[in-house]
Amino acid sequence: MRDRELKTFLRRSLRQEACVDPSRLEETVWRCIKSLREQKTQEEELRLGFWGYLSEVFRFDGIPILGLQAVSLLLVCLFLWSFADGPENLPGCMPLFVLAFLPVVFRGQYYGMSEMEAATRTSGAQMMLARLILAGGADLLCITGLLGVSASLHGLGKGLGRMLLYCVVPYLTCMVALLRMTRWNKRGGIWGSIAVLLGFCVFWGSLAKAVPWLYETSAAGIWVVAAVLFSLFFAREICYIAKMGKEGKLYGTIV
Amino acid sequence: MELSFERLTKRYGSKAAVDGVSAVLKPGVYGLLGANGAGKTTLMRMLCAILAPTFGEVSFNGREVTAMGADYRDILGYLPQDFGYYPNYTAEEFLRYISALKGIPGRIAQKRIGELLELVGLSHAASRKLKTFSGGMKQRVGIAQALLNHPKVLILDEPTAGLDPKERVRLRNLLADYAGERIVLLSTHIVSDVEAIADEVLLMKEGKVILQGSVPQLVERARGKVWELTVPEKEAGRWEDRATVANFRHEGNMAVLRVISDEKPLESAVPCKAGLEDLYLYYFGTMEGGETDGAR
Repeated sequence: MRDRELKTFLRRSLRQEACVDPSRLEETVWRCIKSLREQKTQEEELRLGFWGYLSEVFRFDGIPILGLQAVSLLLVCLFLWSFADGPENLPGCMPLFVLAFLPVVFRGQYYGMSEMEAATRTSGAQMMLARLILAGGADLLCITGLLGVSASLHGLGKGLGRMLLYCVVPYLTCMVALLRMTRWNKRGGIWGSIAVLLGFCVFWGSLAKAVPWLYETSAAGIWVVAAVLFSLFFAREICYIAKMGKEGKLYGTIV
Repeated sequence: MELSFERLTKRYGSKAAVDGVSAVLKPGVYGLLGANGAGKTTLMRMLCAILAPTFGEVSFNGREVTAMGADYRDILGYLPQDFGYYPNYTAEEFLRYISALKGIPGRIAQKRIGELLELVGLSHAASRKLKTFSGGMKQRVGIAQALLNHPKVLILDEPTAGLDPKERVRLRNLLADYAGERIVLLSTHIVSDVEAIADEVLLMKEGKVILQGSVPQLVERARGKVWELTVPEKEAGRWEDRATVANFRHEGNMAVLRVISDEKPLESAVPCKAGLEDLYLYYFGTMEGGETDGAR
């Protein structure tokens, strides 16, 4: 009820009360409203919004997310430096960045904290969304770094766009697979996810040898279509998570 | 304020873990008693809206809790039965993490964490890692996290597990103080914990609530069914096989048995004042002994 309506209501009600001194009616109305405001403040505690929550997630999960992505980047760069003879090896390395995200995603399940976390105000979907934002930011930096290393190894400007697609398409397929498996809500999701991502490593890694023409300039269109397609799938998963988060519904494996 | 559930059912295949349970909980302390596998944990998970029922619904102040979503979990405090923890977090960090999940701003959380650690007797261990904690200490951290958001509905699954008698009394007093205008539901195997503080007790068996009422009302049902008899020690074993023996003590070369039975078991048996544990045993028998009529 707005203050103006409340004042009108109180004036009308208090005028009917014999115990209220008419000369002090306004003061009484003011004191009633002040008291109601104080009660309202005490009852409704302040709560963090999504961005406040995101900063808390960064406090607890930021270092593990950034650290694991940094380690993945280092390993991939070492691999490219030591063994890779062309940017065709980039796709096989991308699942590692998603694998590095798994410990944070499944931490609750692994340590038996899912039930306790699920009963809090923050939904599993909001948790996942916050972690995805942090991981996405970290991976953006990693992919940029990777492109830089790859470009320096194989010639700057030579097919930088293709190299970007070689990074983005496998990354998106792995993320879509991970989010789908999390959504399916199965126990043992962590091991299934590890198996699927390692499978993707092998798949993308062997694709260059199995289908070498896919890595020629003429096949760029296929990569563009794949990028658009998996971007749409990824966007769909993100929208689903956002929707679950907004509705405060359960997401992921709990019990 | 009321938390109500109607015909709440959870089926796993053909087995009903919770079968058509209904109740209305108003502010106060409620004890949920039942043997292992009675359905207590499943019921509590449904009340916390972390497990979807097969049938029925849970409502808070007339609003269905799954529709309420985050608004319901905002006023909920829950301690699961077997909960994990992040071993490398200190007690303070763990509570700060849970505070973040509960949406409590940092400054408020910090103050509240200090108060709660003091309340559960863990101020001295605030900076220690959880992996160094004993079972009882972890349980107390679990209780503290349930209270962080000053919940209006507090659901505790076996909160006294792992606590020594002094800590159990401390928790009981804490819950009795806390209840006031709040709904507190706790499940336990330790009947004395519930008997001491519960305003009402729900007795669960095989997924159903078989009895509900205040402690005096329930204990009344066991009146006239509790007997004390003295038998030679060598006969004590036979009594354990054929009746529910609530207590057994030696007196010289005789054995004094407290037996739960609908009828006077022996001419020399003396009727005793019944307690809640006697009622529990009347309905559930003992693992080793015979079952009474109430348990069938």
